[in-house]
Amino acid sequence: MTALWRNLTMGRMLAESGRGGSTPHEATGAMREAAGRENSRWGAYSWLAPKAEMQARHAGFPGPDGAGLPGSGPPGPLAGFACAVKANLAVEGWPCDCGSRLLQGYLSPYDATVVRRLRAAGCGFLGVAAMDEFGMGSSCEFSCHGPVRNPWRPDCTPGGSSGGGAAAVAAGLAWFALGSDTGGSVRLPAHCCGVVGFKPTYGRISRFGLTAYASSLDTVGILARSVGDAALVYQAIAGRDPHDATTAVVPVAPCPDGPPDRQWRVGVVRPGPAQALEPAAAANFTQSLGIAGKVFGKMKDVDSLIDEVDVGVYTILAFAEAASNLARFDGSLYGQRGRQAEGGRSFGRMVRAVRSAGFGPEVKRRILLGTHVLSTGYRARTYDRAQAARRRLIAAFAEGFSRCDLLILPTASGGAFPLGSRLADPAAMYATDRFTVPASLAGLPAVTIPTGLDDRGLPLSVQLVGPPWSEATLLAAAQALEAEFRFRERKEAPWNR
Amino acid sequence: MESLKAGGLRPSVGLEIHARLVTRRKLFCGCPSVADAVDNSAICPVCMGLPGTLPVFNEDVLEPAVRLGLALGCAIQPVSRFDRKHYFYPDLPRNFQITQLERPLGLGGLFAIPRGDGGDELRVRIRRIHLEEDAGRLAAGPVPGMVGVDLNRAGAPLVEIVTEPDLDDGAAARAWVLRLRQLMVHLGVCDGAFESGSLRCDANVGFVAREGRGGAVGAGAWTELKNLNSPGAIQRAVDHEIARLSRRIGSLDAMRRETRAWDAAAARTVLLRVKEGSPDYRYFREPDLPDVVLQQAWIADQAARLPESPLDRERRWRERWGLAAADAAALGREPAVADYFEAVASALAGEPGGVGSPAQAARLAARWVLTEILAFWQGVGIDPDPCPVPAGKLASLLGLLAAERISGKAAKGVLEALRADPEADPPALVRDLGLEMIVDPDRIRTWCREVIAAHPAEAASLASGKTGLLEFLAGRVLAKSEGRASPPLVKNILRALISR
Repeated sequence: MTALWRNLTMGRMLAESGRGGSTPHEATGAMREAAGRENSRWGAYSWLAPKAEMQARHAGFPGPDGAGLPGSGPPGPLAGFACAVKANLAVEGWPCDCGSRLLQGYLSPYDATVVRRLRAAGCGFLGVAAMDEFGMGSSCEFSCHGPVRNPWRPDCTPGGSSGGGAAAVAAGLAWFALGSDTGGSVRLPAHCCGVVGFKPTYGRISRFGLTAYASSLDTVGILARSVGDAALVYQAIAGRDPHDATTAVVPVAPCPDGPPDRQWRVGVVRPGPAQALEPAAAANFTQSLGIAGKVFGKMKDVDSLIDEVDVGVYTILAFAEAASNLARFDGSLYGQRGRQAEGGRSFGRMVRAVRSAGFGPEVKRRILLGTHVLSTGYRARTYDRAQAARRRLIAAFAEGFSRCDLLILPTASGGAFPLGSRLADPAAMYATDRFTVPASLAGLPAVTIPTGLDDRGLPLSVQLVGPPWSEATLLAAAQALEAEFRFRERKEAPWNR
Repeated sequence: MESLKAGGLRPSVGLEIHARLVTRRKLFCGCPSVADAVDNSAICPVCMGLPGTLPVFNEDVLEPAVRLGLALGCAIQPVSRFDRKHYFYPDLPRNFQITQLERPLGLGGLFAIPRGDGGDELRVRIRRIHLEEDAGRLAAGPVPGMVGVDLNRAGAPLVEIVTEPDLDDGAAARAWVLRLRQLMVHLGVCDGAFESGSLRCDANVGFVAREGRGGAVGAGAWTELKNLNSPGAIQRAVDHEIARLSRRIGSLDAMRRETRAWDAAAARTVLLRVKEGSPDYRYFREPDLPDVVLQQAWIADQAARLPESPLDRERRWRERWGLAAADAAALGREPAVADYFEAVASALAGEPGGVGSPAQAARLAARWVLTEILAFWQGVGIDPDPCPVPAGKLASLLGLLAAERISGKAAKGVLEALRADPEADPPALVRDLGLEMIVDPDRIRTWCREVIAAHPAEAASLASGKTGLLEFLAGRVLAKSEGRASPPLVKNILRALISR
């Protein structure tokens, strides 16, 4: 029979513990043991924390004698729980390789703000979650650690780039995972693995300690077993951070508990002809809208908020920023320098050697494209036009939100795709993000919740998008919807096997 | 140069000056901004550019940068912002520099300085002033044959001042930069030290058509000169480059735009690259930093609180106190000296007894500061500031001199004593050293009689009208008094005795 910790949300775990069941500390200990045994099946973690370190640094984690260490001060809201941390987030003394060969062996000397805040909330860390190199990918196949497998079907991808975290949560090997979402990198893996994926408003959660991919789009996101768990983590990590000048001073409203105080006006964003869903996904979306209608009342269609050109806009802007952000990886201060770079060569030759050997093919492709679009003579036709398109998109969303409180739309056009199936076609890979990039470009909060399974038995989902700073409402609405789908109870799910 | 005039061209020089702002912390992190420290002792994950770190703008740099911009007559922009400038270099940890391109802190401006001996002004327009971070520094590595990097300077706050090409030769460029340096030090925004890299200069040298003679061949030849890191280097490099370019005018090479470095040892410029091969910096807006927004009221307040500029101060010294232009410039060159001189002059004007007008006091103070004090102070370096001889003590001493209570020679003796003991009190020193001028007529009359008795022939000549001999006899009397007898009194008494 399945262990309770594999299935329970953090909220239910606390309730069970209160009724005399095992404590979160004990459950986390068992989870760490299981991760050690099972991780190789999925490759969800690229590095697991030594148990001794968890005991030393995770206040309350059970020691060898089974007794918890005395914590200092009152236990935080996440005391006893532990999460997976995406490999692009800094944890002091831990590998922060971003899935890149170039950074293998690099240990971060400091904690990201979100990590520091989780520690303060009593939360521990199980290990480093695998990812597409520097967040560049939608399948977790572009990693120096090899591909991550989908716990629903090992021949399929878990989605990317936060696929390791999504797989860990789906396999029951983490209570939740910290990920990052630049164009859909939390929502797409959540969709593929049947878990909740939450991306906040840009500026809501500190990026300090998140290795930058595209700075104006990057957000720290949460992969969780339930909307409630995501809200719990969100409350612990959100808010202004003096180390990140782009965090907002807008107060973090508590997530409402219980039924909404008023009827939400929900707008439906239907895929256009160029964005057709796979048949099973289309059927599921129609069915999901029916269920959403029961929760939200009558919904109205909102037109032309997403466009196939958005992926192109995202590609230009994100790649331009990526080329800039990744310039620092030259092997001179940290990271793999490689033997070929030693021995009296010039700096230029060393940099070329390090980057040629250290970066994978997708990263190189994006750096080259990003360099191109900012180059003299090309910028006006590419980067500047993309910026203008982004401004128009933001305005269009603002106009849309004058007529409704939330938008509902698909997360992806189909369930998780087979490993290797899109590697040869970058454009198809980029188009995987067509439903997630609009919220990223507009900096809007979005949450993906699982709704059902496709004809291959792989999860499908819907995505809710809200106006800036509407996280509390968004999460409350997602929770109401989640209660109708009861996806967590599905017998086929990896956490129930 | 005659051929240039014939060709209708004149040299035209613009400058780009980088000045490190005096702030406690770096531009984008909490590290101390220090010029001299053990290699890599003032660094953190942010200024090392480690993965995940973000810059956070240090608002402490705004006040010095805005004060400097205002003093140069720039329009301070209510909204400015940062951009990334990309190039790979080992001293640049992120391989991009955070600077301001499209929306700089200040635009426009004018800084005019007197040209040579108070002739017409050298008027140089300022194109822009902007904020940017400094890079690190290459240093000898721990392993022979390898180069190390010291990042203490990485992220230090700089202002870059870009002028219009309004200078015409090396001497003008040098003089203008020295005046700019004086202003920055006076405002306390930069320590002005070329040696430690606090002040660095690049120059754009080229030729433009003289007014009314457009279209001359050669207009358009420009060289960007790098590494002009002392006033002398600026002057020599600019003149060298003007001469080098002038030889090429008329040839196709003249149209080539080059970046050259000044090789001080070889006293020539060396080609770094031609324009066609210059890097594309791929500027774009720094997404990690919000706009720098300044309130107009705050800018106006900064403007209102600007001190008198060194140039205005020198003008006041000349016009109100009658100081010679050269003396005023010499006193104004170092802010510490200028402040010291002002302090002595005003204290001296307030000394009791016959100092005379404030202008007379200032001129006496100027004379002593320029000769005695400056020689000695520069000998020990203008640091230590304040001067080892406190201004009040010098004023007190000069007060005694002006009141003729001591001789000039005695005053120098007192100054010597003050250098050894700055705490000492000049009147007390005069008393203790027995330097007080002797004004007792009876004592002086006795010495005069002795001198007349010893030199009867000279006394007789003086009595018969050879007035030149008065100086000779007075000198004898002063010698007898060991220099302490009041010279006017000695002469009066000698005259009276002779004419009797």
